[in-house]
Amino acid sequence: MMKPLLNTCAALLLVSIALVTTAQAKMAHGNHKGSNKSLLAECLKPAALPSPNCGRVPTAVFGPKGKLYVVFSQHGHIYLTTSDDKGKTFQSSIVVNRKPERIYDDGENRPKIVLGKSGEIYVSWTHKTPGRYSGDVRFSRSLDGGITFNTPITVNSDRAIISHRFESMSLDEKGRVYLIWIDKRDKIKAKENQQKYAGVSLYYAVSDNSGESFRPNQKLVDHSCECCRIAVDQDSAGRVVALWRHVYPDNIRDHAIAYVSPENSPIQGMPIRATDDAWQIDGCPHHGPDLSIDSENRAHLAWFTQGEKNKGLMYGRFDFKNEKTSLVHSIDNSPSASRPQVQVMGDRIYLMWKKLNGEQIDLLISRSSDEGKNWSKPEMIATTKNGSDHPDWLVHDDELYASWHTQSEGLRLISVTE
Amino acid sequence: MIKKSVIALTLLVVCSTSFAENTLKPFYSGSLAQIEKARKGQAFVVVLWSIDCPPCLKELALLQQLKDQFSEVGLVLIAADNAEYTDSAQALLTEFKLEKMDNWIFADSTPERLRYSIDPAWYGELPRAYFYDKSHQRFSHSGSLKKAQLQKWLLATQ
Repeated sequence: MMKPLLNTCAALLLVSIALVTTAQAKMAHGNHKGSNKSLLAECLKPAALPSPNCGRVPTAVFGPKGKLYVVFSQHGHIYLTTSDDKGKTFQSSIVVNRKPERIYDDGENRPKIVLGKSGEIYVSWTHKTPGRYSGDVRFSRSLDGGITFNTPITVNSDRAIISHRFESMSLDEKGRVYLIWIDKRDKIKAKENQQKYAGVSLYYAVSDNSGESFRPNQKLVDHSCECCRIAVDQDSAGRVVALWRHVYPDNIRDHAIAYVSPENSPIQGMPIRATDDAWQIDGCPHHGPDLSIDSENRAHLAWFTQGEKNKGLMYGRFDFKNEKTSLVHSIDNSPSASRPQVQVMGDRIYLMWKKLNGEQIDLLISRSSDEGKNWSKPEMIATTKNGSDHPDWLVHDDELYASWHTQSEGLRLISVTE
Repeated sequence: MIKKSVIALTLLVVCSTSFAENTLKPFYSGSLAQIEKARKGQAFVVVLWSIDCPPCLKELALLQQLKDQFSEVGLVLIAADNAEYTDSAQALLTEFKLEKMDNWIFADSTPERLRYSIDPAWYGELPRAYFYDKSHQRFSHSGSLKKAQLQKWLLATQ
């Protein structure tokens, strides 16, 4: 009696699955709803090779002679490719992690690439481990210009199946490699001791042997927000600075800034509060800040808030000398504006962000030629009708490009230097 | 013969019901209007959440605690995740025993469009709740809901 029942159920289920599959197929081809997969013809072919256009969250950097290096995620692999014509065409992709793994690849989580002075290629990403919100920080390097990559290593020494995610990477003046990430180990420890712990912590690790190994993990700070990317940059002396969304008392989620010490001891007086919007929320903005430091070591900041004092996308200039952020102004307070990026280029500062414009998403920029006091009217530099990744800046000598990956257009480089 | 038909019919109902439970409905630009229309004259809460938002889990746990106090149409859950994460969203809803609620998941490659269709003034922060009264006047709340706050609303409306 049971068997026929089961068969009937299975048959019904199969019919249902077939219907759903058809519906999903229609959905994918009909209106592209609910998927971030590329819509380019070259990527829809079953034999499509890995490429920055077809893969997810490509992240690029210019190397010597304007050669473009791009890492991206596809089918459980991080790939590296290069371009000699500023992204118009790409070389065949090289796999960084031979063994496929689950990878966080959704914009706020993307692979990182940094080039060393002697041609080293450093790549990092976050591997999704089985638990909820859990992950490990992964790192690999190439010393032969990207022909081969070392077997990836896990950088977080805590191996519990918890969050070690949202890694950011930077070099310092001595070529040391820094990885900074969001880490839940202290929150777990506090929980075990039945203590409250707001947010999570930031940990980092430094390599002083060109990424062969990392020194022991260090804590940068307690109580960071748990789901926003960390912005990093070097100051004029090549020291590493990080900016992140912090959890201040009463769940105020404004930003903190700090120098990151290469030594095994924290830097006195760090971190410093960099934004004061009074955004009180027991929630997840999933919207990290951006940072660019000028030749006088002033940190130009771009961030998103919905605080009592400010709302929307904001710009401000933080000065380490007086520990104050000045020139705070609204970039765009529209709820559909997101992902502000800031870049200093000599005596100019550029802002870039995304904004919904009816049915399409526009990429906008604004410039300041007086150190952030006055800003030009927003100018649209690109648009797209379907899904789009976070935009990013790319610098090649004195040329500035926006890089933007969109479902319909693939990876685009848009020149913004006048 | 009749018995067989009854069994078949029951099976059909059982199988299709259990299948329906595993289906988050795709949420499009017009979906909120549809949700509102189906609840004409009734008060309800819309809760937006995401699989990648730790405070949203607290929200789901609270809703699990109070779910029996909602009217049949009193609670709508919308996962603001891309539809490709349907399986993960479904697993969480099942874990929190919320799978039988009116569940939706964002189905647009440009989530900004859906956010705008729900509320042009919403910046996308999660969790986010909308409390509708019987005449569908609504107010919003960002961040985790407090138990007392939700209970008060339930007492007043459900």
